[in-house]
Amino acid sequence: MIEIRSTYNKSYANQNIKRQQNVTFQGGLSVVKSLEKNEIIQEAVANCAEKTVKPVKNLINKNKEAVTAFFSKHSEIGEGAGIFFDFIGKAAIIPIVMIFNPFSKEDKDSKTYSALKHPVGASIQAVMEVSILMQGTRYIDKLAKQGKLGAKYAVSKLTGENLEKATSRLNFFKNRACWVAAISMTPALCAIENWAHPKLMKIISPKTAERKNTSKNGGHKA
Amino acid sequence: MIKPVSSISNNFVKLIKKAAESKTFEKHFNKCIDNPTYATRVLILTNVSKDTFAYALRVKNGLTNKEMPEEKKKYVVAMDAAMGGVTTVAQIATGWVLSSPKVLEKATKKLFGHLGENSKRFKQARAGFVAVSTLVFSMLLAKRVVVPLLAGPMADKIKISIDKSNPTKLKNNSTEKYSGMIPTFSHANYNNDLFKAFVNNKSKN
Repeated sequence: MIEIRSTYNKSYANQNIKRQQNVTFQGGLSVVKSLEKNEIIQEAVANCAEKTVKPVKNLINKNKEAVTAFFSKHSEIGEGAGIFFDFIGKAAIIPIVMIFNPFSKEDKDSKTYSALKHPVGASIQAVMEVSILMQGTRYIDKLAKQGKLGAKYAVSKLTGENLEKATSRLNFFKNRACWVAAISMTPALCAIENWAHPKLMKIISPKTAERKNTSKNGGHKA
Repeated sequence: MIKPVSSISNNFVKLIKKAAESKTFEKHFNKCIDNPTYATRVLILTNVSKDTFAYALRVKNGLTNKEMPEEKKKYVVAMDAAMGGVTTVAQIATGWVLSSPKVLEKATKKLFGHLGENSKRFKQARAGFVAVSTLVFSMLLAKRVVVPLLAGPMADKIKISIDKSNPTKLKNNSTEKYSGMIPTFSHANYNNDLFKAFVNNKSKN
């Protein structure tokens, strides 16, 4: 009986050693390297690059002049275009993405209620903040042209390299002034948005504004 | 112009002039002119700080808003908090990548290399590429599409944590209708006469 047990133990121990030898982990990088050497994966990567990257490269190479002309034409995107895209993004893109967000499990009523806060905020921002900031930058431009901001900002009196430097210095100054003005206006704008949003929701969609969630887990889909 | 108004505007102009000519601004603007990457990154940080401040205020205002329905308010606050966090990270990340000289050099060399690096057209096209890519990737794709997509599931989690941290309010709302009708069970009122009477009545019926 003892002999049988000892032989059994030996063979079991040998098996264990063999198993351990086979299962040794070689580390993350070595796995990636071995995968890189794999012919099937190499072929797949090459195929993928040929089908996706190469056509785009060829298209750009063929239309290099058109691409260059497009970017040269838009070398200075004006303040108006920036404001317009910002408004479109806030008023239209964010609400659509929020309402139809496939990763969120919240019920559609709450999503819609929260999403419609952004167009309200964007409208208030467009009416108040943008108009005040635009008037402010125009006022600073006027002061600089009149030479009231000092010699370094006197755009109308300078020429050549000095004019270029003065123009960019003036642009930076306007940016910082706008930032200070925007930060100081933010509490008032947020307060108006907070006051207007529930009121507007009651008018736009009274059912959504007043309906309470009846699901057991507080509005979350199971 | 009326005298008090003109004196206020004069003082305002003096204040602006003093700020424009201050040494700190002068140093900062010179650095911005010499180093475009620094200028772009400062611009990103100013935008981010404004957005973060606005979202923080929205969360604070939302919590004290009495006109919003309780359930909707929780999600609105959670969404604002999530949007604030994700916007900050996404804007800094995309801005840093787009303003990186290495990334810019690679992209512009491939796109406009045939023009010659020192030509005026190359510089113009490069400036256009920076402006358009910042507008499309940072302002539209990252800030308006990716941020709300990522913020949605985060808001779900924040809302659940708000529910967990404030369960008493929810309980009070749900039991408000039935208060006085059913005595609530606890070890404290197990021997209570009212509770015993309620149980006896139930068993008789």
